[in-house]
Amino acid sequence: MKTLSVDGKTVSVESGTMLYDAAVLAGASIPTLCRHEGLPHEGACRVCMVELHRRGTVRLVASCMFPVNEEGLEVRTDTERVRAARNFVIRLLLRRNGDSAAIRRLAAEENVLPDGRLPALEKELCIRCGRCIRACSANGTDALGFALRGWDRKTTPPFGEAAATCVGCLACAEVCPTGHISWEEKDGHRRIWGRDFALVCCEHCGEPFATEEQLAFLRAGHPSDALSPEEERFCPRCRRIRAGQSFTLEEVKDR
Amino acid sequence: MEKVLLVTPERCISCGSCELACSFCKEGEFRPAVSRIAVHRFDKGQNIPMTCFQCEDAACVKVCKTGALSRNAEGVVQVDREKCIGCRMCVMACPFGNIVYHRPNRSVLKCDQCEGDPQCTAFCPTKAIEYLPAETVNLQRKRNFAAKMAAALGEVTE
Amino acid sequence: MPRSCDTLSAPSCPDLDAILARHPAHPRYLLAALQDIQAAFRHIPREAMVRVAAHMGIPESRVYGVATFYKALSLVPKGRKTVKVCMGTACHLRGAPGVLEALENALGIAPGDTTEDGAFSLETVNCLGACALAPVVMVEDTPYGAMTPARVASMLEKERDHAV
Repeated sequence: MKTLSVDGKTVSVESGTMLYDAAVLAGASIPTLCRHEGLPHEGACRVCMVELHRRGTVRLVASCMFPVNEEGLEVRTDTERVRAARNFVIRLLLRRNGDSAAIRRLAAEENVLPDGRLPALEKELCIRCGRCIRACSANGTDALGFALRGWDRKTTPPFGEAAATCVGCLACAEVCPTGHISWEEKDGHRRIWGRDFALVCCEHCGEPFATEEQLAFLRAGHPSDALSPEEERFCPRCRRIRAGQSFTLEEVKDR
Repeated sequence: MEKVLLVTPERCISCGSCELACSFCKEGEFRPAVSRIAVHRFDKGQNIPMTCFQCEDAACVKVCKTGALSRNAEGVVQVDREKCIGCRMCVMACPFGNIVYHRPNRSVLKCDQCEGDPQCTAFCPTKAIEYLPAETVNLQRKRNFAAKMAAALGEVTE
Repeated sequence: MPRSCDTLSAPSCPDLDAILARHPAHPRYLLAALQDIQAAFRHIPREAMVRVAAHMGIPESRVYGVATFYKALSLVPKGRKTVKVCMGTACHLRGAPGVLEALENALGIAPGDTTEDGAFSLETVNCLGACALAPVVMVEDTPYGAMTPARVASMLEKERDHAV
């Protein structure tokens, strides 16, 4: 266990705990954008910056990425310097992603106004936080990555083509904080990242419920837990009904 | 001690109280669509409330890549909404369809036994859903099954 | 048109297998392998990225990310020689824009492009670190200091690869 102080409050955490988690434990509230509890942290958005007093030096660090590995760290989450750094990032985001409701909400919470010297630029939603990429990587599909750099940096499937290893699970769209990743579903097809997926329709009720690739991916990754080929063709709802049916008295009588 | 939800389909009168109690307790609204338990109504007045079995060797936990699904000390498989990335793999993997994805929540819905105080049992008027220690249930299950088999065999011999 | 080895099967193409064999199958050698591929092919062919990914056990998405990140790597074939015009502060003040304009006119291409015959690619860079020679132009590894628009033609003539 390591002891540190967060805004004057003392907390003890396991060695290796990130500053963010320690600060939250101490009751501090730190805004975040790229952080997702289920994914590795990347420190991409720089919104969670805090002031770290360590061995006589003071500096700003991304709290989501800085591990508490020693005794006696002192963290301040709401100083002038922290607010300035945070607000600067938010102003830049407002400039490029002013159309995003999530960014506008964050700006309102932090009392940040758009910078008059920097006119709003593009109606763009992607903030390059990399959550979608990390989600796809966690999933094991690795269909997404960053390409180019600097201002031109963007999230894309490899070679800028339709994503070859994508299974159409939509996790990328679900974790996107700004709603940048779009997909559509119609006439038994799902389209995302330039790829078209034929949806598997439930054998019983006919509802489309998954992509063929998704089922195949699951089967390949967990062969011992794979459902029988017949069972796999039923949507979760109908699977539940079938299971229920098999548990009722009538079934026992029928045997 | 581990406790489980024991369902006795013969006692279910299909009133849907469990669904309403569950959805209200978990989502703050009376809407069976977001309930973790669902009553399925079959022919001849046969009904069964279905919810997660908390499988010992749970496929949903195994396919979850982010640790959003985990088993707690009481043996209950829980969802950490914050960790769910919405890949829906658990939904596809559950052989019983007892876990569903709910888009507005950006997370899956599954029974967590209300942290030891399941509301479906509290509101079930006929004890079709009971919350009992695992050992008792195993015994009761065996008895029920024996009774069913006896009844079935009885019909055959008649 | 610049020669392209997109299919990697043409007899004149460098040997990709030999390049891959020089690099251990570990993600840390990704950039080194891509640099070698760039040097041999004058660009990073798509198929090479696929092969590198498989060789090193890296997702294709990451290889593509690295290949597009660095300015030294190019997805489109580069000329046999790259002309880099320094646009750093010192060079800029001492007339780099004029030199660049002369180069654009002489080669008939804009920065980032390659001449039709595949002889030259034109690039601008932010600083070559040789401010005392400003304005500087570098052709492959040869620096040309104190450049003037007037000296552009003779420099290109000297560098032009007549054999190919």
